[in-house]
Amino acid sequence: MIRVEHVRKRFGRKQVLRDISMEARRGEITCLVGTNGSGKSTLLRAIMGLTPLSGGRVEVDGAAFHHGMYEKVAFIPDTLTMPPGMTVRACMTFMQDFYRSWEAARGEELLAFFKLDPASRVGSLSKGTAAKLNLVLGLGLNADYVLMDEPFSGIDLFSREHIASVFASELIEDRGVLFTTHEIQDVEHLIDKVVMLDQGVIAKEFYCEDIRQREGKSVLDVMREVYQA
Amino acid sequence: MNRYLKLVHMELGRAWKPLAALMGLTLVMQLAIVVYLTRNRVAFVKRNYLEEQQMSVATFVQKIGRISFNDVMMDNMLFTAPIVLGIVVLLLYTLFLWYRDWLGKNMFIYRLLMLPSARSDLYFAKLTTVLLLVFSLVAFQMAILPLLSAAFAASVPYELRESVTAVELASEIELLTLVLPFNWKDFLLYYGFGMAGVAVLYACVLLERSYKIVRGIAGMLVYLAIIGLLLFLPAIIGLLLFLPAIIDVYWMALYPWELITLQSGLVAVVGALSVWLSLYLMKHKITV
Repeated sequence: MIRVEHVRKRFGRKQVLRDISMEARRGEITCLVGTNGSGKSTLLRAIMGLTPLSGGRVEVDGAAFHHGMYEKVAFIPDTLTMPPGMTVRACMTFMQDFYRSWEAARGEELLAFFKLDPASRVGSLSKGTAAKLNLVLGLGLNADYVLMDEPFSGIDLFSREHIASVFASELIEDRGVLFTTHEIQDVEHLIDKVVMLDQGVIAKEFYCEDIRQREGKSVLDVMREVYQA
Repeated sequence: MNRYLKLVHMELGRAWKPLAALMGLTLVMQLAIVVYLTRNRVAFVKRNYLEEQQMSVATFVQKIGRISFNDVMMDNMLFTAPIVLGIVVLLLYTLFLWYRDWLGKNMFIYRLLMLPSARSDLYFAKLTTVLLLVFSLVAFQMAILPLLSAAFAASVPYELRESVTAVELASEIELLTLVLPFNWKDFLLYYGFGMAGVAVLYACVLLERSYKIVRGIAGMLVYLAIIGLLLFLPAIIGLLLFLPAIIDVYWMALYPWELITLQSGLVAVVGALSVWLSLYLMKHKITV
């Protein structure tokens, strides 16, 4: 389980995260939602040690986060993480070289699934194709947890559907997924849990099934209540 | 260790094109300059001494001396320009080595910082890359010296030419003796100072990357002030202890080797401090 305890993050005078505590469990898909600037991406980067915390702690399966955790926690940011001059094939080789948890066969399977050309240069990929390559590089790792920052941002409908289908596939099964998105309607049926951030604090946290059964509301309904109140 | 070596290999793989371009440019420029300047000198000698003053070659050699490579190239900025260019390009590349991973559409720094190994591997890989690039360029310069010597020999008639070996060439051109020191003490001193300089530069880059522009630059200035204070500590102590007029005496009281040892020790402290600061920033403060 990824456990975030009393995490605070300040950029200069701006307090971006204020005392955030939450959990993301294996086998569950947790969605972080919030308006622009609510601190979603910062929280993901803070969990991954890509920006220092101003306070609080992050634990993965009961241990403090350290560099060895990058084998078991994969992060798929909303930007390409490979140099533009590399080919898709070279990216796969890079992952195999540096990560023990890289599964070459799964990587090939993902390439075929997303119909990516191994000879393409990273710098020449369209936004949608780049997002798919990011997914290949993240999901090709045999990681217990996958964090994704806006995997559907700025890409066309068909690519979005293609990427969303990953969430329902065996590629995600048994893993813990924590992701951020603005396109909640595309993946609402796939999500287990929602954490709503508002101005650096958790405004609401719930299991989708519970809220559907207890209150008959969709995630969008709850979002309207929280953010338009 | 394994990942460190892989990172060095990867960084070198990314650097080989600019390095090859720099080597090619150095070769072409130096060859062209050697041939051009040597032919000019030979033409000048023929016109002024052998034709106008009607000197025989033997008299010319006796009175003026044979034409040597060093005479022709001495203090000629054209010859040393490619070496200076190499130094400047490598200095810029040292900065580029970090910033290219942060800036632009693709943020490779995400991947590099998420490698499952200590971030010190990444730091030392980049430091090693700079050192290997410098050595590659220096080795290339050494390798083309016989070629330059041959180009010189081909441009001067045998009877007018003073033959020199490549080693003599390397020892006669001042800038070359800086990049190719002939004894190990100078080698350690020059390259030690150089690497300490690169470590300071890296610490400044990482300060800026950790605290961003305003706070980063402020931190950088404070750090450079601390380093300056450290390096000039002996002079500052001297200034505080003695009257300014005695400062010269204070410096003169040290033998040159003592002064060099003292300064080397301080530079080593500055280098070590910069490496420690950089590793601390990479582990605890870096932000993407």
